[in-house]
Amino acid sequence: MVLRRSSVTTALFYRPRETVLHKLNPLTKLAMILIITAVLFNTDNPIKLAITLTTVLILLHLGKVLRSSLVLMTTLLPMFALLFTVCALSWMYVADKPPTTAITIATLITTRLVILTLSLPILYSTTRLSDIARSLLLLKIPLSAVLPIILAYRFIPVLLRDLATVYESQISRGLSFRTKNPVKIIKNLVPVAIPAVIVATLRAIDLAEVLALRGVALKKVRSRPSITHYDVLLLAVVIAIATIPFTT
Amino acid sequence: MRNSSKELVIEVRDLWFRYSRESPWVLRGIDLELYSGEIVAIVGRNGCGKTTLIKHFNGLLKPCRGIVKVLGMDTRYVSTSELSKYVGIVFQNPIYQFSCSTVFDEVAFALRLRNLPSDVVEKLVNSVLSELGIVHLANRCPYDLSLGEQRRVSIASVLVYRPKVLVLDEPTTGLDYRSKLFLLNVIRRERERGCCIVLVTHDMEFLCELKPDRVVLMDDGKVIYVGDPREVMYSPELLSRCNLVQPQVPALSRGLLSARPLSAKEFLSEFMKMRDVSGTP
Repeated sequence: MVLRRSSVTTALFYRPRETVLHKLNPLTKLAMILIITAVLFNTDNPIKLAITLTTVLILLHLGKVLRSSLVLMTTLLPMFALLFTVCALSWMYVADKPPTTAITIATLITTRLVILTLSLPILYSTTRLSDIARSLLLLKIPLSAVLPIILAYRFIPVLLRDLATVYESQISRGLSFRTKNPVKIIKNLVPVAIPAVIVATLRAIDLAEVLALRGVALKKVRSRPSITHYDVLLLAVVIAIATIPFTT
Repeated sequence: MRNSSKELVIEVRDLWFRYSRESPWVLRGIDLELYSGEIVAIVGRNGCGKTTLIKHFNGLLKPCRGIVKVLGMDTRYVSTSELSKYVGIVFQNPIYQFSCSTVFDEVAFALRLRNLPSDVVEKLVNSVLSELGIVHLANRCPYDLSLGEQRRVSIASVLVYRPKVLVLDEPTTGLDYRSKLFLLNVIRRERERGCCIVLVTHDMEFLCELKPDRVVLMDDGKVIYVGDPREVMYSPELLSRCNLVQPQVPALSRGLLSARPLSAKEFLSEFMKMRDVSGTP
């Protein structure tokens, strides 16, 4: 857990590069993700899903963030496996569907979520957080709503670091997770969770005070990122690819 | 062998470590031996690898190259929970470990993990609480205490299972003079018991008062000096290489006294001797 956090943290954040994707307006990238999402939830054809996945992979490759995104997906594999299992079992025993249908539906749901998750780095790995914030403000989302989102996002590595410190403190005192008993594992998670939550709360209180002291939300007018011909071109390409599943 | 009467508790041989393949080496070929009943201070600039080094002592980090042995056990093959029986680490910020609603339960945490009978737990906890002068806090919530009191609770929670090595990471940060003095006495008492104390600190004034047996000076992941604290305190060049400032007593004594006192008490004693010899009233 402790050793893996560095690669996960890296994959979750902006990676400065000189690529076409980096130069795009954040709103263009947001639009691309929305188009991909729309396509994903409007088709259940495996070939069409494969085309969408390929588009996402090409975009990630263009932004030189493909490898880090795949690292993140590897870390999230247990979560997707859990989702698949829960979906399949729900369709089988709650919705009373035959196993083959349940597995097909579970596969479809999981695949959609995998592709959607994989598409998110198109925005967050290639865009500075401040630019995302400015773009959200351009969409007339109020600062009082944008700021908590941005801060929560920025808090992820801090919280991961805190969690790792708490974990190290507790296993240094003899706490062990080397057991196969799930009840014991959950019981042992409590001494890690309590300090982690308290530390996060204390940090949040400190942060709120500091923001207030620095006069956050004093000015309404902010600088905005520009729209270039690259934005128009790449958005057109994505829209063109997105329409393929509906033309065949 | 450095000292045949003392037991070798931690042995570090050619230790190299980095957090990932892409990152630079944090530790570069560290060699170190730690013995029972000694106080060793590890000092150096921020980011020089001090905390990374001590995390190897209980297997929190495993060497990329080289060997770390705790009481003869290679840390690569022993779990941290097993090593925690012998090596206790008190981290810089006490609140990262508080998971119980009372100080008593917090101190008893490690003992309960070891499945000790409740009467033994109660006896050991009360004993360590009284040693650290925090019996009156036993029913308080650890988060409601002052930093000095929290620090005592975190030390008590480690000392309660009597580790052979006690590692203190920046123990004086944010402490007032009285709390530092108390900490000094706790460290000395533990040394008397035969515990090896490893101290990671930037507080050179505190080190002068403590007078550790050895100082390990680190720079850029390497050990650049191991030995007598007086050598370090009276070498401004060595200190400045590690972004450290010469403490007040050595700075004052340099050029004034032939002896090399570390604490104010030693300085006063040497100064009185010099005055008696020279006959100055």
